Amino acid sequence: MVKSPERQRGVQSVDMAIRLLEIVRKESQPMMLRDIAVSAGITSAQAHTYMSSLKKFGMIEQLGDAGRYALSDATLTFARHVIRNDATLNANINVARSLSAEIQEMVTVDCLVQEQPTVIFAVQGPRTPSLSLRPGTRSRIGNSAAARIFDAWSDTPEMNPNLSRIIRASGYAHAEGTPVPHLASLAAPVFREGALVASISVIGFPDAMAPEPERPVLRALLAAVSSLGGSSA
Amino acid sequence: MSDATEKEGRGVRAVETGLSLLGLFLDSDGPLSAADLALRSGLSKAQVHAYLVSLQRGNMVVRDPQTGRYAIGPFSLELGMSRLLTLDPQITASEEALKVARKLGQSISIAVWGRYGPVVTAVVQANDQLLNSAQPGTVYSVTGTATGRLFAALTNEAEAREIAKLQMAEVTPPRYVGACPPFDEIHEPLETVRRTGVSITYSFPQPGVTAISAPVYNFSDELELAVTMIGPAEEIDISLEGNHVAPLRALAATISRKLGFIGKASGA
Repeated sequence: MVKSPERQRGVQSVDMAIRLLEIVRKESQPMMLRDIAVSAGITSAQAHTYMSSLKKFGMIEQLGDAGRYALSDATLTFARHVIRNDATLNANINVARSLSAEIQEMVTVDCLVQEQPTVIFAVQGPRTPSLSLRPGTRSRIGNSAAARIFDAWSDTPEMNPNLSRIIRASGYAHAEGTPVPHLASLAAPVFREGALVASISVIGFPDAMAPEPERPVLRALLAAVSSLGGSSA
Repeated sequence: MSDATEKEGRGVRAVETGLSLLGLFLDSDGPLSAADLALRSGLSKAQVHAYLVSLQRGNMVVRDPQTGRYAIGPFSLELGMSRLLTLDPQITASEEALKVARKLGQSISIAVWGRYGPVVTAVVQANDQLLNSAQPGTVYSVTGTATGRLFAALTNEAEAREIAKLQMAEVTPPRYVGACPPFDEIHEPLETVRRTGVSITYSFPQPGVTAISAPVYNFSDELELAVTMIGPAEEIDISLEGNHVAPLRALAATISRKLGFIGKASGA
C-alpha cells in the first residue's frame, strides 16, 4: 500500500514554494513582498529568497518601480502542457477548431478551473464581432451558455431546477444578450466516463444562435459534441 | 538576515531542484516515471521520490494510479489560467517590440487582423526618419503590404480575398495604406510566406522602404497579431538569417511564448 502524499515527508521548501505561488495566484493584483510573507507566515527575508528562485524559473516576475510580485510566463507554458497532454481536452480543441471552420463562427472550449467555468481555448470566426473573449476568461450562469451547462450538471445548482432539467434533457444551453447585449451563445456538454469534463460553445449574432435544433449552428454543435463520444452517466 | 540567508540557501536550492524536475516534463512527450526523472535529473531515486511527494501534494504533478507515471498537474493549469486573466497581448507585444526597435534603431508596427484587413494597433519608433506612415488605426492593404500578405497567407485566404476585393474597389484616396495588386498576382509571395514564416517587401509599396513582418501566435495556437519592422531599403537586411529578419522572428517567438504558445502540436 502506497502512502498518500499528504502523509509522507516530502521536501519542506517545495511545499512552501507551492504555497507562495498559490498566495500570489489568489490575489488578482501584483503583491508586495511583506504581504506575501505575512500570508505564508514567514519573514520577508525568507519570502525574498523563495521569490528569487521562483523568478529564476519564470514562475514569478516583478513589476513596476515597487517590484511587486505576479505570476509569470512559465505558468502559461506549464498550463499549455497540461492541456496538450490531456487526450480529452485535446480532442475537444480539435473538434472546436473544425467546428469553427465549418460554421465560420467563434467557438470556445470551457472547463472548470478552480470550480469556475473558464475558457481554455478560443478561436475567432470571420463573422465574429469584435469580442475580447479569450482563454482565462471566466463566466457565470448570468452571462454564458457554458456556465449554464456546468451548473445544470452540478451537485449544487444555482439555476431554477426547471431550467436545469430542460438543459439536461435537450443536451445544450442557450444564452442571449450575453456576453454582450447584441450577441448570443449556444453550449453543449462533453462527458468522459459519465462525468462532465468540458463544454463547447459557439458565440455569435442571436439569429444564427437560435436554439432550434434544425438550425445549422446548433445542429453542427450537437454533431461536433456527439463525435467526441462520451455520454452522461 | 545572515542566518536566514544561510538557512534559506538550502531551501532555495531545493525549490530550484523541484522546479527543474517539473521542467523535465516540458521536454517530454508524455508522462514520466520516477526512474525516468531520476535518470534525467541525476538525482537519486529517494531524492526524486521526496520531491514528487511535495509536487503531488501541491497538485503540481499528478500520478496516474494505473501506470504509476507522473504528469504536470492541475495546479499548473490554475496558475496559467490566473496568469491569462491579467495578460494583455497588446501591452506584452509593445513592450517587447520597443526593446528590439531600440536595439536595431528601426520602427516596428503591431497589427491585428480586422474585418477590413490588417489594422495597426501600435507603432514603436526608434529611428529619426519618418518612414513608417502608420499610426494606431491605420488599415494596411491586404495584397500590397508585408503585413497584409502575412495575414492573407497564414489566416483564412477566402476571407482575405474578399477584403482585398473591397479594398481594390475603393476610389482615391483609399482608406488603406499600401499598393493594392489583384489577389491572383500575389500567389508567389504568399507561398513564400507560408514556406518561410515571414513576409518581406523590399522597397515596396513605398520606394526606398522595406518591411519585414512576422506572426505572433497565442494560447489557442491562433494568429494573434503581426510585428512588422519598417525601415530604409538600404539599411534593412532582407536575408532570412540576416541582422533584421532573425531578430524580428525572435521577437515574434518571444511574444508568442509570453502569450502561452508552445509550438503547434506535432501531427496536428
